[in-house]
Amino acid sequence: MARLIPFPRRKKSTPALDMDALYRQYAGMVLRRVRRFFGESEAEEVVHEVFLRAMEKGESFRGDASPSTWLYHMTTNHCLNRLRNQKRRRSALNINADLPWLKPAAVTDSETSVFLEQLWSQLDDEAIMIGTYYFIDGLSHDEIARIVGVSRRTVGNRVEALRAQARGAAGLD
Amino acid sequence: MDGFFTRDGHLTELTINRLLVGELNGVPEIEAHLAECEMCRDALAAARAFDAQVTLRPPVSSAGRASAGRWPMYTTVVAMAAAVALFALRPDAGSDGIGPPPDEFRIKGGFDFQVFAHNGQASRALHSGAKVHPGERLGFRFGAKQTGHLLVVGTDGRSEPYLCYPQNNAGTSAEMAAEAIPRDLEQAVRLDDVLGSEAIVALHCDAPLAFADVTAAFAKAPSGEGTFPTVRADCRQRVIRLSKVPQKAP
Repeated sequence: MARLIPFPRRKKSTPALDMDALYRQYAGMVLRRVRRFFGESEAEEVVHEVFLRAMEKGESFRGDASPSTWLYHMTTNHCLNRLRNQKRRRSALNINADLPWLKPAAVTDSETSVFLEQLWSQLDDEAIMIGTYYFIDGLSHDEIARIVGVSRRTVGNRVEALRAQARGAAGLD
Repeated sequence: MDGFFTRDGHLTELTINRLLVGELNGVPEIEAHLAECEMCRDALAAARAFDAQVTLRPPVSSAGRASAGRWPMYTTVVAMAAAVALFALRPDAGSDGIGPPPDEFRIKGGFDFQVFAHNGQASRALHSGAKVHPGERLGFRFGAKQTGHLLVVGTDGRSEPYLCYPQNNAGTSAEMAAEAIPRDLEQAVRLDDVLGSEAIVALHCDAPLAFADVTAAFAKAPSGEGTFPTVRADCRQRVIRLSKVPQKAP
């Protein structure tokens, strides 16, 4: 039912990664993740960028991580970089929240709104990443730590700081 | 491990991804959650349906880019796939076989069996009474809580049975391991031009079953529009009745 064309082989070999297989197996997953952040018109281009980046960064694939986790994080990171200077991120995320595979996650509370609308432009890359996993994806501290590759303590500190900033910006304190 | 779940207690998007690629098969807390949570089952089904329909051309290699421009022409059916995923789950989404799964599709301690129609551009889940068209391909999804033997048979407007799964020369059932999460079967059938009623019968039996056993049983009690006879005492069966009608002119 699906028609996936084999991924082009890299001239330089990529140890431990079969890019053909990776593309065949994970293109749909990456596209779904991209659709979390972007509309249909941009999604395919972003998917291609993610896989080209995966080809370049293949050596960063950790043997102890699952390919899906590695690609999920890489896709998220790439999308956030593309979104960095866009002011439409909240509306895009809200519209895309209706995608049926995202129903369990919701972007509704005031902290999340403030994170997206007011704090984003002031935050560093790691804070945006952790904030996205926390506020948008609803992940636990442990899972964020596992995906990002930082300690749970770091995640906890970052999240608490973000929440405090968000509450302050929203006038909730 | 709470990493599988959001802080609200639902499966994370990453957990769903990992389920779909088989990284988390058999994790008890996930299976237990899926058994209880319809929203997460729907999200999993939607993700699976989406992935099954994606037709992305991969980016070209560096050499290709140099001659073809940075981003050559790509094609995708993203919109269709999204629509399929939505339609497959949305209640009362249309009159052409798209709607909420009736009880017969749901896991009830026996087995789960679903039929999908694909017209070359998009696919949709079918329930009894759905309309299908000549030339469309039917795909199947199956899951059972106990090991058994599966045979899927179709009957067309002339009530002639044909083998849908497994399509082997021997015409015998396939042994299926217990899988709480249904998976797509790798074979599909293309509908011919004979219009009228069409039925898909899935038989899940404790012992192997032959296609000849089914045709013999059906021959003894012609089904037509009525009920299908029980083929054998150890077999559980599901019937999905379809109506094959001409494709509407564009």
